[in-house]
Amino acid sequence: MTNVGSLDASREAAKPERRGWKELYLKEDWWAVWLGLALMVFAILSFQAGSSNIVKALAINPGGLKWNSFGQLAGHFAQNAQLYLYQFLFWLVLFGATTAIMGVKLKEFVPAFIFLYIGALIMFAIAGWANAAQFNLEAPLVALIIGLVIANVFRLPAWMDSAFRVEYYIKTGIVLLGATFPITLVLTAGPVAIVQATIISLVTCLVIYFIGTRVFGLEKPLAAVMGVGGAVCGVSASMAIAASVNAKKDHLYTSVTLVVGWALVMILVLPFVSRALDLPAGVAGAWIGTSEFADAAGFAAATTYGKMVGNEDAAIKSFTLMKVIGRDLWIGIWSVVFAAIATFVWEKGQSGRVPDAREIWWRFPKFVIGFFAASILMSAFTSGFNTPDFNTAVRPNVIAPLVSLRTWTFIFCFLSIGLTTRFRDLHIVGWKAFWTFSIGVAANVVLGYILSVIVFGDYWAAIH
Amino acid sequence: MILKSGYRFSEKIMVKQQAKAKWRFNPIPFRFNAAQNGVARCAACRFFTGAPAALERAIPGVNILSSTYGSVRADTGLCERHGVFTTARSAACPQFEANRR
Repeated sequence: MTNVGSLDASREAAKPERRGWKELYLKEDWWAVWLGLALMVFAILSFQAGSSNIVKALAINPGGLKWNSFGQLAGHFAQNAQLYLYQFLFWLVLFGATTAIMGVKLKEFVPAFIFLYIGALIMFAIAGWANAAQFNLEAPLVALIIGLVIANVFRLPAWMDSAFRVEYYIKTGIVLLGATFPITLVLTAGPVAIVQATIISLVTCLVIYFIGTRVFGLEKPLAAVMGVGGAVCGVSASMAIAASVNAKKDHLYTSVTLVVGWALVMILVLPFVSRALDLPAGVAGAWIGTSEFADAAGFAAATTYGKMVGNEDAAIKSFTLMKVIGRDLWIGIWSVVFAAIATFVWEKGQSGRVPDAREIWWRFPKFVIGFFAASILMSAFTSGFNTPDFNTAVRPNVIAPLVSLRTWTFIFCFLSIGLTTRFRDLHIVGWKAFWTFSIGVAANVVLGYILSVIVFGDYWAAIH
Repeated sequence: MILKSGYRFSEKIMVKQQAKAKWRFNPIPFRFNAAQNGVARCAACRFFTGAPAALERAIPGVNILSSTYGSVRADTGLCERHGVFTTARSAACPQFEANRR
Protein backbone atom coordinates (compact mmCIF):
# COMPACT_ATOMS: atom_id res chain seq x y z
CA MET A 1 0.00 0.00 0.00
CA THR A 2 1.41 3.35 -0.92
CA ASN A 3 -0.10 6.42 0.58
CA VAL A 4 0.82 10.00 -0.02
CA GLY A 5 1.34 11.08 3.52
CA SER A 6 -2.20 10.34 4.55
CA LEU A 7 -3.38 10.32 8.11
CA ASP A 8 -5.26 7.06 7.63
CA ALA A 9 -2.09 5.31 6.65
CA SER A 10 -0.51 6.36 9.88
CA ARG A 11 -3.52 5.28 11.88
CA GLU A 12 -3.42 1.88 10.30
CA ALA A 13 0.28 1.54 10.78
CA ALA A 14 1.70 -0.38 13.66
CA LYS A 15 2.60 1.80 16.60
CA PRO A 16 5.76 3.77 15.87
CA GLU A 17 8.57 4.35 18.28
CA ARG A 18 7.01 6.27 21.14
CA ARG A 19 9.14 8.01 23.67
CA GLY A 20 8.59 10.97 25.96
CA TRP A 21 8.75 10.13 29.64
CA LYS A 22 9.98 6.72 28.54
CA GLU A 23 13.26 8.43 27.75
CA LEU A 24 13.86 8.37 31.48
CA TYR A 25 14.50 4.65 31.24
CA LEU A 26 15.20 4.15 27.54
CA LYS A 27 18.11 6.58 27.10
CA GLU A 28 21.51 5.84 28.54
CA ASP A 29 21.99 9.49 29.54
CA TRP A 30 19.23 9.15 32.10
CA TRP A 31 20.49 5.78 33.29
CA ALA A 32 23.91 7.31 33.80
CA VAL A 33 22.25 9.96 35.96
CA TRP A 34 20.28 7.41 38.01
CA LEU A 35 23.27 5.10 38.49
CA GLY A 36 25.74 7.85 39.33
CA LEU A 37 23.45 9.54 41.82
CA ALA A 38 22.37 6.22 43.37
CA LEU A 39 26.00 5.23 43.94
CA MET A 40 26.76 8.61 45.47
CA VAL A 41 23.76 8.51 47.80
CA PHE A 42 24.63 4.91 48.72
CA ALA A 43 28.16 5.99 49.64
CA ILE A 44 26.88 8.86 51.79
CA LEU A 45 24.24 6.75 53.55
CA SER A 46 26.74 3.97 54.21
CA PHE A 47 29.10 6.53 55.71
CA GLN A 48 26.40 7.91 57.96
CA ALA A 49 25.40 4.40 59.02
CA GLY A 50 29.03 3.62 59.81
CA SER A 51 29.23 0.89 57.18
CA SER A 52 31.49 2.46 54.58
CA ASN A 53 33.38 -0.81 54.30
CA ILE A 54 30.71 -2.08 51.89
CA VAL A 55 31.35 0.76 49.45
CA LYS A 56 35.10 0.50 49.89
CA ALA A 57 34.94 -3.23 49.18
CA LEU A 58 32.90 -2.68 46.02
CA ALA A 59 35.39 -0.06 44.86
CA ILE A 60 38.45 -2.28 45.20
CA ASN A 61 41.03 -2.17 42.40
CA PRO A 62 44.68 -3.16 42.06
CA GLY A 63 45.67 0.16 40.46
CA GLY A 64 47.32 1.53 43.58
CA LEU A 65 49.08 -1.69 44.52
CA LYS A 66 52.55 -0.71 43.21
CA TRP A 67 53.53 -4.37 42.92
CA ASN A 68 57.07 -5.46 42.10
CA SER A 69 56.58 -9.15 41.48
CA PHE A 70 53.88 -11.36 40.02
CA GLY A 71 53.75 -13.18 43.33
CA GLN A 72 52.73 -9.97 45.04
CA LEU A 73 50.03 -9.35 42.44
CA ALA A 74 48.76 -12.96 42.65
CA GLY A 75 48.69 -12.67 46.43
CA HIS A 76 46.50 -9.58 46.19
CA PHE A 77 44.00 -11.34 43.94
CA ALA A 78 44.02 -14.52 46.05
CA GLN A 79 43.40 -12.52 49.19
CA ASN A 80 40.60 -10.47 47.68
CA ALA A 81 39.05 -13.00 45.29
CA GLN A 82 35.69 -12.87 47.01
CA LEU A 83 35.58 -9.07 46.88
CA TYR A 84 36.38 -9.08 43.18
CA LEU A 85 33.60 -11.62 42.62
CA TYR A 86 31.11 -9.41 44.45
CA GLN A 87 32.35 -6.41 42.54
CA PHE A 88 31.97 -8.20 39.22
CA LEU A 89 28.40 -9.19 40.10
CA PHE A 90 27.71 -5.63 41.23
CA TRP A 91 28.78 -4.11 37.90
CA LEU A 92 27.15 -6.92 35.92
CA VAL A 93 23.79 -6.38 37.59
CA LEU A 94 23.97 -2.59 37.34
CA PHE A 95 24.98 -2.37 33.71
CA GLY A 96 23.34 -5.62 32.58
CA ALA A 97 19.90 -4.81 33.96
CA THR A 98 19.92 -1.23 32.72
CA THR A 99 21.15 -2.00 29.22
CA ALA A 100 18.59 -4.82 29.02
CA ILE A 101 15.86 -2.30 29.81
CA MET A 102 17.21 -0.12 27.01
CA GLY A 103 16.89 -3.03 24.61
CA VAL A 104 20.31 -4.69 24.60
CA LYS A 105 20.19 -8.50 24.56
CA LEU A 106 21.27 -9.86 27.93
CA LYS A 107 22.53 -13.13 26.45
CA GLU A 108 24.99 -11.06 24.41
CA PHE A 109 25.81 -8.60 27.16
CA VAL A 110 26.76 -11.09 29.88
CA PRO A 111 29.59 -13.02 28.13
CA ALA A 112 30.93 -9.82 26.59
CA PHE A 113 30.91 -8.05 29.94
CA ILE A 114 32.80 -10.93 31.56
CA PHE A 115 35.46 -10.40 28.88
CA LEU A 116 35.43 -6.64 29.48
CA TYR A 117 35.69 -6.97 33.27
CA ILE A 118 38.64 -9.35 33.06
CA GLY A 119 40.29 -7.01 30.56
CA ALA A 120 39.74 -4.05 32.90
CA LEU A 121 41.27 -6.00 35.79
CA ILE A 122 44.36 -6.65 33.66
CA MET A 123 44.58 -2.92 32.77
CA PHE A 124 44.40 -1.98 36.46
CA ALA A 125 47.05 -4.58 37.25
CA ILE A 126 49.38 -3.17 34.57
CA ALA A 127 48.80 0.38 35.85
CA GLY A 128 49.51 -0.86 39.38
CA TRP A 129 53.00 -2.07 38.48
CA ALA A 130 55.62 -0.10 40.40
CA ASN A 131 57.53 0.75 37.20
CA ALA A 132 54.50 1.47 34.99
CA ALA A 133 55.06 5.24 34.96
CA GLN A 134 58.65 4.84 33.70
CA PHE A 135 57.34 3.16 30.55
CA ASN A 136 54.31 5.45 30.14
CA LEU A 137 52.04 2.51 30.85
CA GLU A 138 49.13 4.72 31.82
CA ALA A 139 45.90 2.75 32.12
CA PRO A 140 43.95 4.70 29.45
CA LEU A 141 46.70 4.32 26.85
CA VAL A 142 47.28 0.66 27.63
CA ALA A 143 43.56 -0.09 27.55
CA LEU A 144 43.15 1.70 24.24
CA ILE A 145 46.12 0.05 22.54
CA ILE A 146 45.40 -3.46 23.81
CA GLY A 147 41.74 -3.04 22.85
CA LEU A 148 42.73 -1.92 19.36
CA VAL A 149 45.05 -4.89 18.92
CA ILE A 150 42.43 -7.39 20.10
CA ALA A 151 39.68 -5.91 17.91
CA ASN A 152 41.78 -5.76 14.78
CA VAL A 153 43.88 -8.90 15.08
CA PHE A 154 41.55 -11.41 16.68
CA ARG A 155 38.25 -10.28 15.14
CA LEU A 156 35.85 -10.39 18.05
CA PRO A 157 32.25 -11.10 17.03
CA ALA A 158 30.15 -7.98 16.50
CA TRP A 159 27.55 -9.03 19.09
CA MET A 160 30.14 -8.41 21.81
CA ASP A 161 29.66 -4.71 21.19
CA SER A 162 26.54 -5.13 23.35
CA ALA A 163 28.75 -4.79 26.43
CA PHE A 164 31.34 -2.41 24.93
CA ARG A 165 29.17 0.62 25.57
CA VAL A 166 31.74 3.42 25.41
CA GLU A 167 29.30 6.26 25.94
CA TYR A 168 27.29 4.66 28.72
CA TYR A 169 30.38 4.01 30.81
CA ILE A 170 31.85 7.46 30.29
CA LYS A 171 28.55 9.17 31.08
CA THR A 172 28.19 7.21 34.31
CA GLY A 173 31.77 8.13 35.13
CA ILE A 174 31.09 11.80 34.46
CA VAL A 175 28.14 11.81 36.87
CA LEU A 176 30.37 10.15 39.48
CA LEU A 177 32.98 12.77 38.68
CA GLY A 178 30.41 15.41 39.65
CA ALA A 179 30.46 13.97 43.17
CA THR A 180 34.11 14.96 43.51
CA PHE A 181 33.75 18.27 41.70
CA PRO A 182 33.14 21.30 43.95
CA ILE A 183 30.20 23.32 42.68
CA THR A 184 32.15 26.48 43.51
CA LEU A 185 34.69 25.51 40.84
CA VAL A 186 31.90 25.10 38.28
CA LEU A 187 30.57 28.54 39.16
CA THR A 188 33.95 30.30 39.06
CA ALA A 189 35.56 28.61 36.05
CA GLY A 190 32.37 27.71 34.17
CA PRO A 191 31.91 31.11 32.47
CA VAL A 192 35.50 31.05 31.15
CA ALA A 193 34.89 27.56 29.80
CA ILE A 194 31.69 28.63 28.08
CA VAL A 195 33.36 31.68 26.48
CA GLN A 196 36.26 29.55 25.23
CA ALA A 197 33.90 26.82 24.02
CA THR A 198 31.79 29.36 22.15
CA ILE A 199 34.80 30.76 20.33
CA ILE A 200 36.17 27.35 19.43
CA SER A 201 32.81 25.93 18.42
CA LEU A 202 32.03 28.81 16.07
CA VAL A 203 35.48 29.05 14.52
CA THR A 204 36.04 25.33 13.98
CA CYS A 205 32.59 24.71 12.54
CA LEU A 206 32.78 27.68 10.18
CA VAL A 207 36.34 26.83 9.07
CA ILE A 208 35.37 23.26 8.16
CA TYR A 209 32.11 24.32 6.55
CA PHE A 210 33.55 27.09 4.38
CA ILE A 211 36.76 25.25 3.48
CA GLY A 212 34.64 22.25 2.52
CA THR A 213 32.05 24.08 0.45
CA ARG A 214 34.05 27.00 -0.97
CA VAL A 215 37.52 25.49 -1.45
CA PHE A 216 36.89 21.79 -2.03
CA GLY A 217 33.33 22.01 -3.35
CA LEU A 218 31.89 19.43 -0.97
CA GLU A 219 28.16 18.99 -0.58
CA LYS A 220 26.74 21.35 2.02
CA PRO A 221 25.22 18.63 4.24
CA LEU A 222 28.54 16.78 4.33
CA ALA A 223 30.40 19.97 5.25
CA ALA A 224 27.83 20.71 7.97
CA VAL A 225 28.04 17.19 9.43
CA MET A 226 31.84 17.33 9.51
CA GLY A 227 31.88 20.92 10.78
CA VAL A 228 29.73 20.27 13.81
CA GLY A 229 31.42 16.91 14.40
CA GLY A 230 34.78 18.67 14.61
CA ALA A 231 33.49 21.64 16.58
CA VAL A 232 31.33 20.03 19.22
CA CYS A 233 31.47 16.38 20.11
CA GLY A 234 32.38 14.16 17.22
CA VAL A 235 30.14 11.35 16.09
CA SER A 236 27.24 12.24 18.41
CA ALA A 237 27.11 15.78 17.06
CA SER A 238 27.44 14.52 13.49
CA MET A 239 24.47 12.22 14.04
CA ALA A 240 22.39 15.05 15.44
CA ILE A 241 23.22 17.38 12.55
CA ALA A 242 22.76 14.62 9.96
CA ALA A 243 19.04 14.62 10.72
CA SER A 244 18.83 18.40 10.67
CA VAL A 245 20.29 18.69 7.16
CA ASN A 246 19.01 15.37 5.74
CA ALA A 247 22.57 14.16 5.28
CA LYS A 248 23.18 10.98 3.34
CA LYS A 249 24.31 7.77 4.96
CA ASP A 250 27.73 8.24 3.32
CA HIS A 251 28.08 11.67 4.89
CA LEU A 252 27.81 10.26 8.39
CA TYR A 253 30.12 7.38 7.50
CA THR A 254 32.71 9.90 6.34
CA SER A 255 32.39 11.92 9.51
CA VAL A 256 32.59 8.80 11.71
CA THR A 257 35.84 7.72 10.03
CA LEU A 258 37.46 11.14 10.26
CA VAL A 259 36.37 11.78 13.83
CA VAL A 260 37.46 8.35 15.05
CA GLY A 261 40.79 8.56 13.19
CA TRP A 262 41.70 12.01 14.46
CA ALA A 263 40.38 11.32 17.97
CA LEU A 264 42.68 8.30 18.27
CA VAL A 265 45.61 10.33 16.98
CA MET A 266 44.84 13.06 19.53
CA ILE A 267 44.67 10.59 22.42
CA LEU A 268 48.16 9.43 21.56
CA VAL A 269 49.66 12.80 20.63
CA LEU A 270 48.19 15.53 22.88
CA PRO A 271 49.44 14.16 26.23
CA PHE A 272 52.99 13.80 24.92
CA VAL A 273 53.00 17.23 23.24
CA SER A 274 51.63 18.76 26.45
CA ARG A 275 54.40 17.09 28.36
CA ALA A 276 57.03 18.32 25.89
CA LEU A 277 55.67 21.84 26.35
CA ASP A 278 55.67 21.32 30.12
CA LEU A 279 52.09 22.52 30.47
CA PRO A 280 50.44 22.58 33.89
CA ALA A 281 47.83 19.82 34.24
CA GLY A 282 44.92 22.27 34.33
CA VAL A 283 46.08 24.04 31.18
CA ALA A 284 46.67 20.79 29.30
CA GLY A 285 43.24 19.53 30.37
CA ALA A 286 41.63 22.67 28.94
CA TRP A 287 43.60 22.33 25.70
CA ILE A 288 42.58 18.71 25.36
CA GLY A 289 38.99 19.69 26.14
CA THR A 290 39.11 22.27 23.37
CA SER A 291 40.77 20.03 20.81
CA GLU A 292 39.41 16.50 21.31
CA PHE A 293 36.17 15.55 19.59
CA ALA A 294 34.55 13.00 21.86
CA ASP A 295 34.12 12.94 25.63
CA ALA A 296 35.47 9.40 25.91
CA ALA A 297 38.57 10.12 23.81
CA GLY A 298 39.19 13.38 25.66
CA PHE A 299 38.97 11.75 29.06
CA ALA A 300 41.48 9.14 27.90
CA ALA A 301 43.92 11.88 26.85
CA ALA A 302 43.34 14.08 29.92
CA THR A 303 43.64 11.15 32.33
CA THR A 304 46.82 10.01 30.62
CA TYR A 305 48.41 13.44 30.93
CA GLY A 306 47.20 13.83 34.52
CA LYS A 307 48.85 10.53 35.44
CA MET A 308 52.02 11.52 33.57
CA VAL A 309 52.47 14.68 35.63
CA GLY A 310 50.99 13.33 38.85
CA ASN A 311 47.99 15.65 38.89
CA GLU A 312 45.13 13.68 37.43
CA ASP A 313 42.48 15.71 39.24
CA ALA A 314 43.44 19.05 37.69
CA ALA A 315 43.63 17.67 34.14
CA ILE A 316 40.25 15.94 34.46
CA LYS A 317 38.59 18.94 36.09
CA SER A 318 39.64 21.48 33.47
CA PHE A 319 38.88 19.01 30.67
CA THR A 320 35.38 18.48 32.09
CA LEU A 321 34.73 22.19 32.40
CA MET A 322 35.88 22.82 28.86
CA LYS A 323 34.37 19.85 27.05
CA VAL A 324 31.35 18.66 29.02
CA ILE A 325 30.12 22.00 30.35
CA GLY A 326 31.40 24.20 27.53
CA ARG A 327 31.37 22.46 24.16
CA ASP A 328 28.76 19.72 24.53
CA LEU A 329 26.00 22.23 25.15
CA TRP A 330 26.38 23.44 21.57
CA ILE A 331 24.90 20.31 19.99
CA GLY A 332 21.28 21.37 20.20
CA ILE A 333 22.05 24.94 19.14
CA TRP A 334 23.88 23.82 15.99
CA SER A 335 21.06 21.36 15.23
CA VAL A 336 18.50 24.14 15.21
CA VAL A 337 20.73 26.52 13.26
CA PHE A 338 21.52 24.01 10.52
CA ALA A 339 17.90 22.77 10.40
CA ALA A 340 16.87 26.38 9.76
CA ILE A 341 19.56 26.86 7.10
CA ALA A 342 18.65 23.57 5.41
CA THR A 343 14.93 24.33 5.43
CA PHE A 344 14.90 28.01 4.54
CA VAL A 345 18.04 28.38 2.42
CA TRP A 346 19.12 25.08 0.86
CA GLU A 347 15.76 23.41 0.27
CA LYS A 348 13.41 26.34 0.63
CA GLY A 349 10.78 24.52 2.66
CA GLN A 350 10.80 21.26 0.71
CA SER A 351 12.38 19.10 3.39
CA GLY A 352 9.27 18.24 5.40
CA ARG A 353 10.95 19.51 8.54
CA VAL A 354 10.36 22.59 10.58
CA PRO A 355 13.20 23.94 12.73
CA ASP A 356 12.17 23.68 16.33
CA ALA A 357 13.92 25.48 19.18
CA ARG A 358 12.85 22.71 21.55
CA GLU A 359 15.45 20.56 19.83
CA ILE A 360 18.02 22.28 22.05
CA TRP A 361 16.45 20.46 24.99
CA TRP A 362 15.66 17.23 23.16
CA ARG A 363 19.29 16.86 22.12
CA PHE A 364 20.72 18.17 25.36
CA PRO A 365 23.17 15.63 26.83
CA LYS A 366 21.12 14.86 29.93
CA PHE A 367 23.96 13.26 31.87
CA VAL A 368 25.28 16.81 32.39
CA ILE A 369 22.27 17.33 34.67
CA GLY A 370 23.46 14.38 36.73
CA PHE A 371 26.94 15.89 36.88
CA PHE A 372 25.57 19.16 38.27
CA ALA A 373 23.20 17.37 40.67
CA ALA A 374 26.02 15.21 42.03
CA SER A 375 28.27 18.24 42.43
CA ILE A 376 25.60 20.25 44.28
CA LEU A 377 24.55 17.36 46.53
CA MET A 378 28.09 16.41 47.49
CA SER A 379 29.07 20.05 48.05
CA ALA A 380 26.06 20.43 50.35
CA PHE A 381 26.95 17.25 52.22
CA THR A 382 30.62 18.07 52.70
CA SER A 383 29.92 21.66 53.73
CA GLY A 384 28.92 20.29 57.14
CA PHE A 385 32.46 19.07 57.86
CA ASN A 386 35.53 21.04 58.83
CA THR A 387 38.77 20.39 56.94
CA PRO A 388 40.35 17.89 59.40
CA ASP A 389 37.11 15.85 59.60
CA PHE A 390 36.78 15.93 55.84
CA ASN A 391 40.31 14.70 55.33
CA THR A 392 40.20 11.96 57.95
CA ALA A 393 36.62 10.74 57.64
CA VAL A 394 34.83 11.86 54.47
CA ARG A 395 37.68 11.63 51.99
CA PRO A 396 38.72 8.01 52.68
CA ASN A 397 35.20 6.68 53.28
CA VAL A 398 33.11 8.53 50.70
CA ILE A 399 35.23 10.40 48.16
CA ALA A 400 37.95 7.78 47.61
CA PRO A 401 35.51 4.90 46.92
CA LEU A 402 33.56 7.09 44.51
CA VAL A 403 36.79 8.01 42.71
CA SER A 404 37.64 4.32 42.42
CA LEU A 405 34.17 3.47 41.07
CA ARG A 406 34.57 6.29 38.56
CA THR A 407 37.96 4.92 37.55
CA TRP A 408 36.34 1.53 36.91
CA THR A 409 33.76 3.08 34.57
CA PHE A 410 36.52 5.01 32.80
CA ILE A 411 38.60 1.86 32.29
CA PHE A 412 35.53 0.03 30.94
CA CYS A 413 35.13 2.96 28.55
CA PHE A 414 38.76 3.21 27.41
CA LEU A 415 38.94 -0.53 26.80
CA SER A 416 35.63 -0.40 24.93
CA ILE A 417 36.97 2.33 22.62
CA GLY A 418 39.74 -0.01 21.50
CA LEU A 419 37.52 -3.08 21.33
CA THR A 420 34.89 -1.39 19.15
CA THR A 421 37.37 0.27 16.79
CA ARG A 422 37.59 -2.14 13.87
CA PHE A 423 39.43 -0.30 11.13
CA ARG A 424 37.98 -2.61 8.47
CA ASP A 425 34.49 -1.31 9.34
CA LEU A 426 35.43 2.31 8.73
CA HIS A 427 34.50 4.02 5.51
CA ILE A 428 37.02 4.99 2.86
CA VAL A 429 37.19 8.78 2.86
CA GLY A 430 37.83 11.02 -0.12
CA TRP A 431 40.82 13.34 -0.11
CA LYS A 432 38.68 16.46 -0.20
CA ALA A 433 36.79 15.44 2.92
CA PHE A 434 40.03 14.38 4.58
CA TRP A 435 41.78 17.70 3.95
CA THR A 436 38.73 19.71 4.88
CA PHE A 437 38.44 18.01 8.24
CA SER A 438 42.19 18.02 8.82
CA ILE A 439 42.43 21.77 8.24
CA GLY A 440 39.61 22.16 10.74
CA VAL A 441 41.48 19.99 13.21
CA ALA A 442 44.62 22.11 12.76
CA ALA A 443 42.65 25.31 13.32
CA ASN A 444 41.01 23.76 16.36
CA VAL A 445 44.28 22.63 17.92
CA VAL A 446 46.12 25.90 17.30
CA LEU A 447 43.24 28.10 18.47
CA GLY A 448 42.70 25.78 21.42
CA TYR A 449 46.35 26.20 22.40
CA ILE A 450 46.17 30.00 22.11
CA LEU A 451 43.01 30.18 24.21
CA SER A 452 44.02 27.60 26.82
CA VAL A 453 47.66 28.60 27.26
CA ILE A 454 47.92 32.27 26.34
CA VAL A 455 44.51 33.92 26.72
CA PHE A 456 42.98 31.98 29.62
CA GLY A 457 46.13 30.22 30.83
CA ASP A 458 46.03 31.79 34.28
CA TYR A 459 42.51 30.52 34.92
CA TRP A 460 43.29 26.96 33.89
CA ALA A 461 46.65 26.85 35.67
CA ALA A 462 44.90 27.77 38.94
CA ILE A 463 42.79 24.59 38.86
CA HIS A 464 44.09 21.91 41.20
CA MET B 1 -9.06 0.15 5.93
CA ILE B 2 -12.57 0.76 7.28
CA LEU B 3 -14.02 4.03 6.17
CA LYS B 4 -15.59 5.94 9.00
CA SER B 5 -19.03 7.32 8.40
CA GLY B 6 -20.52 9.98 10.62
CA TYR B 7 -23.24 7.53 11.68
CA ARG B 8 -21.22 4.87 13.40
CA PHE B 9 -22.40 4.45 16.96
CA SER B 10 -18.94 4.22 18.51
CA GLU B 11 -17.83 7.31 16.67
CA LYS B 12 -20.76 9.30 18.04
CA ILE B 13 -19.81 8.27 21.55
CA MET B 14 -16.24 9.32 20.99
CA VAL B 15 -17.24 12.71 19.63
CA LYS B 16 -19.25 13.32 22.80
CA GLN B 17 -16.43 12.13 24.98
CA GLN B 18 -13.97 14.46 23.29
CA ALA B 19 -16.33 17.38 23.76
CA LYS B 20 -16.54 16.63 27.49
CA ALA B 21 -12.86 15.96 27.94
CA LYS B 22 -10.78 18.57 29.67
CA TRP B 23 -7.12 19.16 29.11
CA ARG B 24 -5.09 16.34 30.50
CA PHE B 25 -1.46 15.60 30.84
CA ASN B 26 -0.17 13.57 27.90
CA PRO B 27 2.86 11.49 28.86
CA ILE B 28 3.77 10.88 25.22
CA PRO B 29 5.06 14.06 23.61
CA PHE B 30 3.57 14.91 20.27
CA ARG B 31 6.89 14.85 18.52
CA PHE B 32 7.03 11.06 18.57
CA ASN B 33 3.45 10.43 17.60
CA ALA B 34 2.81 8.90 14.20
CA ALA B 35 0.52 11.62 13.04
CA GLN B 36 0.44 15.27 13.92
CA ASN B 37 -2.03 17.73 12.51
CA GLY B 38 -3.21 15.13 10.03
CA VAL B 39 0.23 14.62 8.48
CA ALA B 40 1.92 11.21 8.39
CA ARG B 41 5.36 11.12 9.98
CA CYS B 42 8.48 9.18 9.11
CA ALA B 43 8.13 7.29 12.40
CA ALA B 44 5.27 5.28 10.91
CA CYS B 45 7.06 4.47 7.66
CA ARG B 46 8.42 1.02 7.02
CA PHE B 47 11.59 2.46 5.50
CA PHE B 48 12.46 4.33 8.68
CA THR B 49 15.06 2.79 11.02
CA GLY B 50 14.91 4.43 14.42
CA ALA B 51 15.65 1.61 16.87
CA PRO B 52 19.10 2.08 18.47
CA ALA B 53 20.36 -1.46 17.88
CA ALA B 54 19.21 -1.44 14.25
CA LEU B 55 20.90 1.92 13.70
CA GLU B 56 24.19 0.65 15.11
CA ARG B 57 24.01 -2.29 12.72
CA ALA B 58 23.19 0.04 9.84
CA ILE B 59 26.10 2.40 10.53
CA PRO B 60 29.19 0.39 11.51
CA GLY B 61 31.55 2.45 13.65
CA VAL B 62 28.93 4.77 15.06
CA ASN B 63 29.27 3.16 18.49
CA ILE B 64 33.05 3.65 18.74
CA LEU B 65 32.91 7.11 20.25
CA SER B 66 29.19 7.60 20.35
CA SER B 67 25.96 5.78 20.96
CA THR B 68 22.56 5.51 19.39
CA TYR B 69 21.10 5.06 22.88
CA GLY B 70 22.05 8.61 23.93
CA SER B 71 19.91 11.71 24.30
CA VAL B 72 21.83 13.59 21.64
CA ARG B 73 20.46 11.34 18.89
CA ALA B 74 16.92 12.16 20.06
CA ASP B 75 14.65 10.71 17.35
CA THR B 76 17.18 10.73 14.52
CA GLY B 77 16.84 7.72 12.28
CA LEU B 78 17.79 6.46 8.86
CA CYS B 79 15.44 6.51 5.88
CA GLU B 80 16.44 3.36 3.99
CA ARG B 81 14.32 4.43 1.02
CA HIS B 82 16.37 7.56 0.32
CA GLY B 83 19.54 6.71 2.25
CA VAL B 84 19.32 9.90 4.30
CA PHE B 85 19.07 10.75 7.97
CA THR B 86 15.91 12.32 9.21
CA THR B 87 13.85 12.57 12.37
CA ALA B 88 10.93 10.38 13.35
CA ARG B 89 8.74 13.48 13.49
CA SER B 90 9.52 14.65 9.95
CA ALA B 91 6.57 14.84 7.60
CA ALA B 92 6.52 11.75 5.41
CA CYS B 93 7.48 11.96 1.75
CA PRO B 94 5.36 10.73 -1.20
CA GLN B 95 7.10 7.34 -1.00
CA PHE B 96 5.70 6.75 2.50
CA GLU B 97 4.62 3.18 3.19
CA ALA B 98 2.98 2.35 6.47
CA ASN B 99 4.91 0.13 8.80
CA ARG B 100 2.87 -3.03 9.30
CA ARG B 101 5.15 -4.74 11.79
